[in-house]
Amino acid sequence: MAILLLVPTLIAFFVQKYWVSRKSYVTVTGKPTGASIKKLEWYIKVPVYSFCVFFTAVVFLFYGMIVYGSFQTLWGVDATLTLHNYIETFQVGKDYLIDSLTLATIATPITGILGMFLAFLVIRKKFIGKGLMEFVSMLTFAVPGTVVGIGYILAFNVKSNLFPIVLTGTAWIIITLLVFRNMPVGIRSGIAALQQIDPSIEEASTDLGADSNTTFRRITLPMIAPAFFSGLAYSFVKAMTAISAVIFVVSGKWNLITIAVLGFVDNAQYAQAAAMSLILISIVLVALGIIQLIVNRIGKGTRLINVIG
Amino acid sequence: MKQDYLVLENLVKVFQSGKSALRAVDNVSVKVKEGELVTLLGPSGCGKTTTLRMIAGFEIPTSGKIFIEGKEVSMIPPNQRPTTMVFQNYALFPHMTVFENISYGLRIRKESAQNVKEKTEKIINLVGLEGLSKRSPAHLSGGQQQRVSLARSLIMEPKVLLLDEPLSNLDAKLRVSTRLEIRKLQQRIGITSVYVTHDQEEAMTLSDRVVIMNAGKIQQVGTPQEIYAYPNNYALHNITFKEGEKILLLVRPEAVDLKAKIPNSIIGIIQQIIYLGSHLVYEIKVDDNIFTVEISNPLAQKSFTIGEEVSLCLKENCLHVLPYEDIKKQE
Repeated sequence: MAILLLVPTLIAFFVQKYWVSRKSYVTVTGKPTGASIKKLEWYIKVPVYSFCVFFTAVVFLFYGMIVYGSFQTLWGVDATLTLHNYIETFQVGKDYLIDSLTLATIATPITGILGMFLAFLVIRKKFIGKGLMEFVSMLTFAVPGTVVGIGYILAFNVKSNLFPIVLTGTAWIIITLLVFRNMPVGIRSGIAALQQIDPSIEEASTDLGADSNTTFRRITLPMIAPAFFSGLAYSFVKAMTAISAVIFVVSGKWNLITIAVLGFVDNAQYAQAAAMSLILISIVLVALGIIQLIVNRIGKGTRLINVIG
Repeated sequence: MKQDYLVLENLVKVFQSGKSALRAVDNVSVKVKEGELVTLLGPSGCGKTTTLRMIAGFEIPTSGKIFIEGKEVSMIPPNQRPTTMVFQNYALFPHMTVFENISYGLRIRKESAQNVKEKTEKIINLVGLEGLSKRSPAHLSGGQQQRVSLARSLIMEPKVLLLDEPLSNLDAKLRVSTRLEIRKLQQRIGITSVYVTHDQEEAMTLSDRVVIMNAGKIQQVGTPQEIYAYPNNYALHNITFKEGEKILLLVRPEAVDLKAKIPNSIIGIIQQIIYLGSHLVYEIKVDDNIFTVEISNPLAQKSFTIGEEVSLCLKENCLHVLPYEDIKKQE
């Protein structure tokens, strides 16, 4: 089954790699020019705009229902507004919340830095096995989450010559899973950012006496910072909301907020589930806000952020 | 003045892609004197940029050697070579101000803050960027960006300055004034420079010497005057041609006089007259070929009208003999 699911994703991956990626897109050339926004005709504007409004309305409906439901005494039966759900959710779910936050906070920077590093290697360096590395790094993304979860359980359940420590049941298996599950997006956004930057900007730095470490730190990194932080934001959100892959690797010691939501739903405690979800959503929004703030601070004075961000 | 300041010795660069190999640079040897500006001129893909990138250290020669002041630098990485480069698209650092861009190399070299400030301000004045030091490159005109790029390279006081088509992104008018500025600056500082361009006029006005390249090989080396007056002049070099060999006779447009029709001469019909102020250009049909003839100081000359039959008379020492195959190859 897992293999069957794998086939179409692999085909898509190869099509992308050998057809699309043959072209090179350099838009940040070190010779910046202003971009202009075209005015659209009304017959294009109106349908597109209404579609967007409709789509937004549906999304708002989802979230509205969660907010409303979380304050109901018994969702669908007794609509009296109450704060009781939050008190109960918090008592039961405090540990889940802390676990989720801890694990996501550890996993996020590892994901981001590793992702950027791999993107840099893939785009700017030549070495044997580069294509293989790019392919393998994308693999966890192409495979369905449940398959990855089962794979991790099987791989790290017993001591083996390859990996002499049992990871199952520890925080590390969750962190590792989150890192490798979310890294592909970081790699892709890093690759996209790097492809837009003319290599001669980095060459100029080398030419002026900087070694490759210094060039990466002072030139490449600041230029791909917006992509780096959006990668961070993405992996944090995914780490907080992951469910399909992690459901197999959680344990009594380390549990996650998403699993708690699922637990509430299993017990038909929909209002509590909604309350928990709302807490999760708030945390994610706050985290996104902080990252956005950092991006704005860094992006000041450069136009890069408009191109990538 | 040192004679062999920068020496390229039998440089070869082969690019391997799969099984096919491209000889981008094929046995190129050039000697550049101290303070001299040498231009590598040729069509795109002729190996001029690859040659420049080998001098900078971005490409490692497949074979051959590069010497600067007698010291071999062929294998030294670009960040340790005494060369700096002005890139075709300037390659400014978009997240830094003009001041930060220009002072980047000095800061990498860890010079004192005082030193960095003084040198940067001096060079900003030298290239005429006063008052712009806090701007970001995005808020500069093309010409200003170009000067930042030049200043950023000059501040390092390199032994050899490399310029890779630095004017190709400017509009025509700016190009003419900027190339004069570059030339004046280069002569004032006395910096040894290698300049790459595909623009013949640019090469002629800028250079002490021009190296014409084609298909990875050097075709001719000489001062702009020599190159213009004797384009690979085989007659001058006493090269003899075999019987039946096709040759080409080359005459410059300004080396022809027009006279009212006289017998036993090349006769043609005027097709087009283009008035350019200081000179007049006639397009003249001779049999099936169109010839261009330039007449300077047209007011002092007899003028002709379209459709008139005229004689083309050659001035003294204006005929160049070239093997036909050579020209075919260049095209």
